[in-house]
Amino acid sequence: MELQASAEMIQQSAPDQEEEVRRSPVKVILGSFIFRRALRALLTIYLVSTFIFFLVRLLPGDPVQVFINKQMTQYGYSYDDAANQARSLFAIDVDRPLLLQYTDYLSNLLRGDLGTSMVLPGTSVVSIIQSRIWWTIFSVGTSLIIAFVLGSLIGMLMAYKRGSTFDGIASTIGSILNSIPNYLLALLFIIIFGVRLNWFNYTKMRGSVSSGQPVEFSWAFFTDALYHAILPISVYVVTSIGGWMLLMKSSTISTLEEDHVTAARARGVPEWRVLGFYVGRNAILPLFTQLTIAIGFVVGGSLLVEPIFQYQGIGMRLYESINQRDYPVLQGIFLVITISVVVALFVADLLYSRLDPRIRS
Amino acid sequence: MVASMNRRKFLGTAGAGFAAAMFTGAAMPGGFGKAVMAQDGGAEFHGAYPYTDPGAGGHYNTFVTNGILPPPSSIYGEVMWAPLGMYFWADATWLPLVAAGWEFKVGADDTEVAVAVEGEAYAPLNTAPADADHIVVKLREGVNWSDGTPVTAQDCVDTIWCYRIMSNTAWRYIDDAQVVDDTTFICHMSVPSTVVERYVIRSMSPLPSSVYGEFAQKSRDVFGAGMTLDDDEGKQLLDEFNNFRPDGPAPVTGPFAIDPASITNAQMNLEKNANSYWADMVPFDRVVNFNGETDTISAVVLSKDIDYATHGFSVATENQMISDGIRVLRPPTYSGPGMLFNYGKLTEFQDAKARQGLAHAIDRGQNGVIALGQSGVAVQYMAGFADALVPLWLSEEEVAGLNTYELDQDMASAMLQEAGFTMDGDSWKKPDGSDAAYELSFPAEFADWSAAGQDLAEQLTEFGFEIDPRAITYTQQPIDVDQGNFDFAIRGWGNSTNPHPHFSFTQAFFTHNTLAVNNGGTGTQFPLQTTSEAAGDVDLEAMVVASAQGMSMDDQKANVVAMAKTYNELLPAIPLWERFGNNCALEGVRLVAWPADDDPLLKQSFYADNIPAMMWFQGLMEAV
Repeated sequence: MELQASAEMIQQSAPDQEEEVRRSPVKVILGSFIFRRALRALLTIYLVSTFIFFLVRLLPGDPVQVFINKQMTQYGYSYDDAANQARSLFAIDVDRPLLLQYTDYLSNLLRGDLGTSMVLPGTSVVSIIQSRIWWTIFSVGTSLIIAFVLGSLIGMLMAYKRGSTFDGIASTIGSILNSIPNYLLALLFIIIFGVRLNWFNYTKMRGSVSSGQPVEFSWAFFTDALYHAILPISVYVVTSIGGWMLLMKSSTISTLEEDHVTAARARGVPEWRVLGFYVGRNAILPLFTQLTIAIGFVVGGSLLVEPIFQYQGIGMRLYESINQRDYPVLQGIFLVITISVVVALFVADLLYSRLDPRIRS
Repeated sequence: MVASMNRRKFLGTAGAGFAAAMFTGAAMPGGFGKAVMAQDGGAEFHGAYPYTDPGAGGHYNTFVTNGILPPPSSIYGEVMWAPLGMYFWADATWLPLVAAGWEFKVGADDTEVAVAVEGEAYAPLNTAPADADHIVVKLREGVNWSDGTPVTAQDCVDTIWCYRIMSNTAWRYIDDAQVVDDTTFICHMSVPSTVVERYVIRSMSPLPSSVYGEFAQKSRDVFGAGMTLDDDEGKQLLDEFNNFRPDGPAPVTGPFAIDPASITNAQMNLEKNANSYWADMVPFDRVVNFNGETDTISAVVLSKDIDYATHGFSVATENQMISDGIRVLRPPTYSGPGMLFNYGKLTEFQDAKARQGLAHAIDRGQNGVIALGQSGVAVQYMAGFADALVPLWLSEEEVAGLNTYELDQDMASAMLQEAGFTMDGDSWKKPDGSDAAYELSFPAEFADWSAAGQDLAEQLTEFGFEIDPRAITYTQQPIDVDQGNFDFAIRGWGNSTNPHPHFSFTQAFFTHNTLAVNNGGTGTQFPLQTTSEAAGDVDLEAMVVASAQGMSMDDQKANVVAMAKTYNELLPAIPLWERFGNNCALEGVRLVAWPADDDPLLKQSFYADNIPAMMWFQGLMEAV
């Protein structure tokens, strides 16, 4: 009976295979996992960019009003003087029908034109983003690598010594660090270690580069940029390492219970080798997906930490643009963040599909 | 080749290339910004004032927003591009700088000017003819640009014409500026007014024609021919000027000049301009200016790396400054928060008695201290403009006649009852018998105004009103007020940039009232045609406009007195307290000392005619 059923199945599957062979390349592409994921990513980018376009315009106050109010309340200008300044600054029509603004935005977007800043006349959004994004990638990217490597190592040790005092202390510290907001830690760093204890010179470390240091590919520039990035990097590392530690611990514990680890130990493989090659390599695999997603968020920088350190990354520019209601810059930065996150998720999807082919279907 | 490139080879090649590029000092792609500063041991003054660095769109066109430290809207702009004169707020006199003197004249024929005498108080307005229609300005001999060329009348006139492109308010009063000779220029006042003096002398620091002359000529061609910004030519010129980006800072007249190579987003240097007329009066070789708002500058201040900052520090930071031995200066701002009423909505407050009663119920001193510590000083005269200016415009007798609305809750109750309010147990009822329940809005992000709003709500609730405090984001709250979406609101009174009461009365009677139409609303709806016991039937709109017109100080004083009395009686808003500075003033580190607390210089409106610049131009600051 079983043989007969198998023969029937073979007969039925043969035409299917022939049909598969006859399918046009277009259909193959359209039906492919990568194409579907890419399409979904593009759709996500379009929807998010549309959502952002309308969302930023829902913020209370427009750039002109924000400017006038700031001049009046902060610098004591009369309404007339402030309005006159605004008139000369803002050659924009914020009352233009929203739909027309949206169609302009989309058509410009298709040409790769993100527009020009409303509060910095003549400055393109692309140039603003270009001038800021590298600093953020440098600081947040470096901190991500450090936090990932250190967190994974410590997490693995925690799992290996689970139940020990070290595990208890490290788990508690990891949980605490994971729950501290980074901007709060940044302020504590400055006030306690910089101002009160004088462990570092906060005044000199503010900003992204020292006054006097030309920006060029040189060792001097690299060390100077690193000197200025140490504070934000430290804050990012301290507030994110806990998450990696706990994730790695959980993943390692699962791996330690796998049969191949038991078998390796039974074969007398040295413990350091078991830990590094049999456990570590396997336990870290699930974290790579998380890492890919985290890489996507690197571009977003930190909206609140960068202004505290006067660090000229994309997060600080976003913070300024929100305060100034600079719609084009807001849209541009959000778009770049969206694209990087969507691309990271796309890559994570691909990686995961390689690791687990079942999800391709 | 490509096929043979594996991952390891690729990384190795890229790494070697990167290292080689670093060690050979190859230029980096644009966008990283640029910065150079040499700490060569010169005497430094450390200040803090926000600016936009070039990487973020900052530029060297000082007429256009985001120009780097432009005069007059940044306190270090003046020490680079010195104004024609600066103002002593304490006694309403002038310190002539690029100008040697100026006079108001009838007609354009007489262009002789008696220059200021060193050491004597200078106040040309006091001798202005009542029918003057011109202001003639004589420049100081020996004032040069940093490139060595002399400052001429052409530079000054070109500057004024460039301000025409930017719709500067001065051009509401003047319609022409012309060169008389190399060191003399004249402006015609189409609307003669005493406020022209401040606009021309203080607000339009001369900038060099070598940089801006071309635009000045275009401005003359366009606007001199009667066109306006509504014409295509005007729009085009404005657009062109807004996008004009000089390669570097314009030559300066003041003792310092921007070192472009020093600018980062965190700090920049102003280096000594040895060619400046005032170079020898300033004991510093360099001003290091730190960038940033209060949240990031506070820690630098507490690290004792800043000699002077005007950021409006929190009370907690101020207390820490004091305990760390950093002196706090408290010069006035001539403005502060007040309580606005929505007269269109709250008809029960259309009766002045109700507002007067409320004024007696509020402890303004407590409100100020809670909001801003020692820098929140209760308003005394309730005249519509700052207390310190009141004696300059009102006689002693007139000042004595002003109601100071002392805290007296019994009197407050009596006045409210007179206005129709009733007490029900511990709670007030409106004249129509409903609960006296109101909402009080204030800007959430302004820590001092926000605290003032919270305290005011608590005080009035304790008094028997039911006040719901509502913090609204600072960008929306003034719009809500303009659109009439409020009961009570905390908004500003007074004016920090111009000492003439006209500007404070504009704030009191027009802003958030008649000007609310700009935000599509009706604002407070305070009637400007009204009657007061002090001044009878008054047209406040006409009086405010007239208060800045004409050259007769006597006429203007009469107007100001009438408006002050009317304001004091009708209280269209209740001024709560005046914001005084809590400026960081470090002594003994880089400079010896700041002026004593009773020094007239500490009466300066510290954003408008700032204290360091006034000291430097007079040679009053001593380096350690």
